Amino acid sequence: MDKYLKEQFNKVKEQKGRLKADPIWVAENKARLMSQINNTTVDSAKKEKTYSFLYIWQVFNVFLPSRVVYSVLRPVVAMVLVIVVATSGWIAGVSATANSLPGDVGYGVKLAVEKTQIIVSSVTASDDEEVKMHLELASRRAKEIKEVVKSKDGDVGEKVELTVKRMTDSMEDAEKKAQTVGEKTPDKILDTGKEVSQKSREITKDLKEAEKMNDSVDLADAKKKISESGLEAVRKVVEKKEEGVMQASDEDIKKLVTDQITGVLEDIDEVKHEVDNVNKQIVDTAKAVDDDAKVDAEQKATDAVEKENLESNDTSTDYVEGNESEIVSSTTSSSEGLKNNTSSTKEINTTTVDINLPADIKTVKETVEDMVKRVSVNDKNVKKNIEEAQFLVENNLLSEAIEKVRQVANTTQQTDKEVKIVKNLLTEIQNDMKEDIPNDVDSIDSSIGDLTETATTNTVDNVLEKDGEVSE
Amino acid sequence: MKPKVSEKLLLLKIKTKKDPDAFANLYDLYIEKIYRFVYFKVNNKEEAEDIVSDVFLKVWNYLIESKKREIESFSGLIYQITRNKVIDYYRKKAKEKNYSLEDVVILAPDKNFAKIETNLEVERLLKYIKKLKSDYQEVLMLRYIEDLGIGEIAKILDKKKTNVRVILHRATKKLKQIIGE
Repeated sequence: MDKYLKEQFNKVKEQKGRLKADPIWVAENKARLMSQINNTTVDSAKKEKTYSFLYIWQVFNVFLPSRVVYSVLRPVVAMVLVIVVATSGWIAGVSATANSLPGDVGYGVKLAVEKTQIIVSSVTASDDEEVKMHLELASRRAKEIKEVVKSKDGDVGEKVELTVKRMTDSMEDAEKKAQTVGEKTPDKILDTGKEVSQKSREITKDLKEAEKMNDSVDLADAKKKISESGLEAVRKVVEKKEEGVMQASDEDIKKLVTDQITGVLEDIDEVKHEVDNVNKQIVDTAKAVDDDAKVDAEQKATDAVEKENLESNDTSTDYVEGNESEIVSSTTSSSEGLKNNTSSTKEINTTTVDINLPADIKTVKETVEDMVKRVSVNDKNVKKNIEEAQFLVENNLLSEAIEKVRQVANTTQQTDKEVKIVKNLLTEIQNDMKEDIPNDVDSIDSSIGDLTETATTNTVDNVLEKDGEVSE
Repeated sequence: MKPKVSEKLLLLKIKTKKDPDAFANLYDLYIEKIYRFVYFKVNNKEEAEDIVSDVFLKVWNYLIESKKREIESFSGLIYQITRNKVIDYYRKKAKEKNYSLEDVVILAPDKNFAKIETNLEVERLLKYIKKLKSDYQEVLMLRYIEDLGIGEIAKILDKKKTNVRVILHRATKKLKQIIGE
């Protein structure tokens, strides 16, 4: 194009302000257009959003020059897909990994797929949808824990520990995202809170079932963390409501808090049931130990008497006296000499029982009885707090009610832990009983020491704390 | 961020979240260009305003409804829709007044255009351009006034790049010829 034309066009460009649209019309037209657009999208915007492969593709399109996308990325992706499908049956592979458990070959693929989902949704999904996804992952982990416990593989403990860690991580992510929802879009916090609260109940239920399947699996801490997250979500909803940044009916929020109370009540019932169970077992065991000891002592006494009789028949009186002292020393009874057979039987009987029961079994029994007593004291306090929480909800003091629920939940979880310690100890004693009681006196002794130390301090602290609260 | 990238992001927001704000941004970016393009073709303020309003609404509906199609270039899309709207406008007009399409283009009323106080040289050039075939006019407008690339013009006119280059070359040649007369 020659110089003259270029100049002419440049002049037109400079002049193109003259061909400008009327600014008033531009603004009016924009307003009109926006209102038309909003009318057409009110319905469709509410619809559940779907994220297809196309959108991911378009995200690539935004950040990479179209030439790269079309001439490099597209053929490369196609090639990779073809190779993968051809060599390993990719589609079947991925769907098969969905049911894989920790330790399985496909489990790594499953986690990798989930990680990809997290990354993709962090670009395309809204915050509340991300919360849902993290919750879903946490719930998957809980189900895996259940399955692993059920499978009773060799290293259940290790696998469970790892999966619990992943589960609590997902739950933390969900909690963090829920906070963002509360800050950015307070209108959605009610739904998100509901979701978190409900999922945390479901997960706790799965964990409880896992515990029931195998007593040696300790998920008390995991359960605590999960229910705390649920409670925290509800607390956030109440907080936003009280700040006045969220529109929701009082009934909705009350229901949310009441659901939490119901959940805690269910927990209490279960823990109480466990306590009663353990208590019954303790009484039985103590009785069995007692009987065993008596039988043992009687047996020994009879043996001794028989032996004595035999020996007195065969040998001189001096010999008998020597034997007597031997028996006495072996039972560490009083140093008084035993003059005749009948009195000696009686004496040995009582002293033997005195020696084997009081020192060891009796202490176990006492410690356990003491603990059961304390557990039921907790139980009463718990009931009282629950009633107070319900009262607070009725009077619309929701954050106070949540605080009460939190206290109750803490005490319940503490009790749950203690019951577990008692239960483990009981199993230990029962195992010991099957062997020989007197030989294992030391081991029982040490386990009592441990138990008394941990459980007592925990419970005493708890009771003290509670007493303080009550008196306040 | 490059203008094209931000444009694509806005498009993605419209497609995935049906975000009216994103569309408002695109409106601000394109309203002047589209108005100019239409005005040049119809030479009437009111008609141009009507057509431009229609164009933006149609673009929005297209973006929302066509879920399966990916949009490579927003400018390509909007100019294409604008062109079709202008053609519709002339068809309607031709029917009403019983003129042929070519006649209408040539006979399009000039009075509003004259009202605008462009300097004489520019006015003359624009008049010369209007004497050209509509294909030539469009290519010259898009290339030298709106500063679009050959690739984009090809998309708008739904032609091959080489084809556009040929048309552009012929158009300049013809224009020079008219000016020289």
